Amino acid sequence: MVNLDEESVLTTRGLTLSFGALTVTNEVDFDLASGARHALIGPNGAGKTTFVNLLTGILRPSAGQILMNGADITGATPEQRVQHGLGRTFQINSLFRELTVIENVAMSTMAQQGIGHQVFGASSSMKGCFEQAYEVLCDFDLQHVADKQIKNIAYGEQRLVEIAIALGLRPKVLILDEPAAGIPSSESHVILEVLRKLPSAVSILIIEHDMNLVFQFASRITVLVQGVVLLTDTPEAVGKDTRVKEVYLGSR
Amino acid sequence: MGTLLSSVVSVMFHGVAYGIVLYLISVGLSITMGLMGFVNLAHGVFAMIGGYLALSFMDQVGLNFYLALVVSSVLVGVASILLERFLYRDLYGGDELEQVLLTIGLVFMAMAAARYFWGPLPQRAILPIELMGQWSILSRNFPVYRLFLIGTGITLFLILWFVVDRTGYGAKLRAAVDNQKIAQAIGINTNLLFTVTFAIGSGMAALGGGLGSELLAINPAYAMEYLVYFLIVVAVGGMGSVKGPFLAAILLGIADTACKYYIPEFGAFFIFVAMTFLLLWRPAGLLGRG
Amino acid sequence: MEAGRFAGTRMMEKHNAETRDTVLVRLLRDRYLRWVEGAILLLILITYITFPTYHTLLSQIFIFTLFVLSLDLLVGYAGLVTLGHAAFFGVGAYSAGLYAIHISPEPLSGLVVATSSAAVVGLVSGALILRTTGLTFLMLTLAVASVVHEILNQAGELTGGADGLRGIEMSPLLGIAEFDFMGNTAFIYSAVVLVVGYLFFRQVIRSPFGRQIVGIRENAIRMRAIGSPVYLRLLAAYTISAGMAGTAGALLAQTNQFVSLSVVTMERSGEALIMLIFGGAGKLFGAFVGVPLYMLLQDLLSRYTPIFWVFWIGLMLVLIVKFAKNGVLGVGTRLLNKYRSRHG
Repeated sequence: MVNLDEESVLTTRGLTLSFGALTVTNEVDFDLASGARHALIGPNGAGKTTFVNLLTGILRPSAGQILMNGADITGATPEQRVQHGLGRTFQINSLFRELTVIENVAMSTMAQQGIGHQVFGASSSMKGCFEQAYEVLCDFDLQHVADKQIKNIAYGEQRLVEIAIALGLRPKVLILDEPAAGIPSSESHVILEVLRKLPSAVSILIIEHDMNLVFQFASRITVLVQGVVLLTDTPEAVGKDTRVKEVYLGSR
Repeated sequence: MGTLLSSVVSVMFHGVAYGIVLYLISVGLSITMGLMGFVNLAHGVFAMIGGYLALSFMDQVGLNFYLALVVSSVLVGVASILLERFLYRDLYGGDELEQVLLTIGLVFMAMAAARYFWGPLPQRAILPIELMGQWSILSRNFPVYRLFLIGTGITLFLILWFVVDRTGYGAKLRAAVDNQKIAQAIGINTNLLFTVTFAIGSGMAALGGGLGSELLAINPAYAMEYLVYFLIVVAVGGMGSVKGPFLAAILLGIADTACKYYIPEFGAFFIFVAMTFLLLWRPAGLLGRG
Repeated sequence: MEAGRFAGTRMMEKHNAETRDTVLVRLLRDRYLRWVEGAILLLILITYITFPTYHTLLSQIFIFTLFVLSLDLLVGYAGLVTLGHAAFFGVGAYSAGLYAIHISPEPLSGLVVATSSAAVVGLVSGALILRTTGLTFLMLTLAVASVVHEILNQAGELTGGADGLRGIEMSPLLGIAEFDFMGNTAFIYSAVVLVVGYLFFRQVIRSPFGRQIVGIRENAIRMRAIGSPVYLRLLAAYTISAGMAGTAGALLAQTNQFVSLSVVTMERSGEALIMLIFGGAGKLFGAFVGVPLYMLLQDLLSRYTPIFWVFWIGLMLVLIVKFAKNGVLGVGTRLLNKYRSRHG
């Protein structure tokens, strides 16, 4: 269902991905509203990660369109989509393990400032990038580990750095792939607090299995089952929907 | 026209023989690279030592040709187990640079040792009497030894194909090449698998070195000199398979022989250029996995 | 957020020398860096005075240090394992030699020509092969080097083939310093070029570009996910590295006034890799430690065991990979770490 009330920053129309007879993503229409806090849920194998990979450009669709702020990005490379303002995090930490926390975030602030190609005369811009990175770390309450190597900090902190790097890009749209993955549910409030502090101007799509997190954070939920959108609605409506309960019967 | 056909047949024949030797040596490298993800640039050392030992057994101990080959191959295969367990195992799936450097260091050591024990000159190949001479097939003459070589090589290839495709060991091997973690999860003893496979691969290389001593002369620089060819066979044929390298080796053997015969001024130039573009077109090899 | 500004700047100054080992980074804060660099410069000056008969040998050391420095950019910083780097060294050497014979014996312009030729070869071959990774990439570096070797070998009329390129006569450097038999000019020439090359290398490493290269080495997938054009960055690094190697090759041709095919063999590529590892890859000064160390070892060993010395080099390489994979500088760092942790 296409919602034209709010401005949609990320839209898919009839997005499909098939491998021969196997259809993994099936005619998905999706809208991410401006400033959204939108969650994508579904049982294992529903095709959530595939959908994310289609959105970010790692996979090419067999059919359908992807639009970002009105621009057609269906054929764009992952790098080009980043230029359009699309950022993502990974379900399994994808960090620079040997580098320090601040160096990790500085990678993306440097990319955001567009100075990644410079060899000469960039020392003041680099200072600026590190300052920017430090500010991001402060937002995440990570500034006390700024100088530590990633491999030497706790997993929970690593997970936060994973998000901090994406934020360093100053994205317009942020896709979070299971940010609470590997975090025990007793600790997930840390992630929740960080998510709540994310700038309201950033439109967020979150893939998650942790239902507590989803229902506390999201204002809109899409349920994906076997590559097909089951429904898209408010958390209350989704929580009451009998079809959704059936799909999750047996699982948490 | 007659002489062109004649030279083509000749080039094909000798090319295939050359390719068979390359295959026997390289198949072990292909499997271990696909299986353990280990860049073993010292693989040629197995072939070299196999050749040296076989020739020494024939020359000094007086073993007959076939026995010398078998004994040297088994010895090399068994000795390689020590190498695998104590030196290589720690580096599996690790930093490629370390693997390259470690194995280059081993090549250096082997080169110097070979020179020390057997001197700097290339060894003369020793052929058994019954395999010398020529046979006449369809009014053409073919060296008996090369016919024997091709026959043996094809037989071994078929045996390998059968083992990999039809036996329990082969199934485990293919599973582990595809996905080591899952293979372990379903109870395959990957360590044992690695060791056994490595030993077989090294033994085959030793056999190839001994059998092919007429084509690839046994000398101290062997492992370095022919390394490029072994790597080409593996890269073009695809890692982790026994069939791909066979095709690649035959192609390489024929192409190299053809180039040396028809355009000797250019030497290996065309081979490398062709191989470069082939790999750019198919980075995983002709029949390789992704 | 004011605290953030200053803290960030302090952080950056701490992180300005990018290496594999972050503790070394802290140790190599700017002022320490200056000390080490000053020490190297001093060492160069001292050896000029105290070893008057060894100037030719020393200039060889400088030349190979520059060569290995260029390799460090690829192997140590970009994480690209190559066995074909001698190709660029050779292209530089032959370009400089041919330029001197056929166009002009002026050394500096020859240096520029050689660097550019090597860079072009690097750009073209890199553009082709940088789309691949792992063993395929390694193979292709070997292939490119073999092709270059073959071309130089076969173009006998131009290059002298297996006999080598002779008859290179250089005109005086800057019009004043003649290339003398004592090697004085060669020493100063190669030392200066090495210093300039090092300064350029350091600039590249510490720049945003250099950091991106390290980022690509550590996690290419994440770099793509933050919009970094990985292929283009690597291509740029490859081209720069090739150019630097070409500069070193040109120096060799100009100071020896002779070039042989040995400059473009796999042995040469392998040797450079070994020298780099001995010193430690990705540690800024690895080349400065590894090259003299290797050449000293080679000299010593080959005097005691003329045939067998290769064995000892191989053994050392195996031991280094097993126990000291970050080379001498890595061992030094570990010792410094221990010292610091014991003394606070």
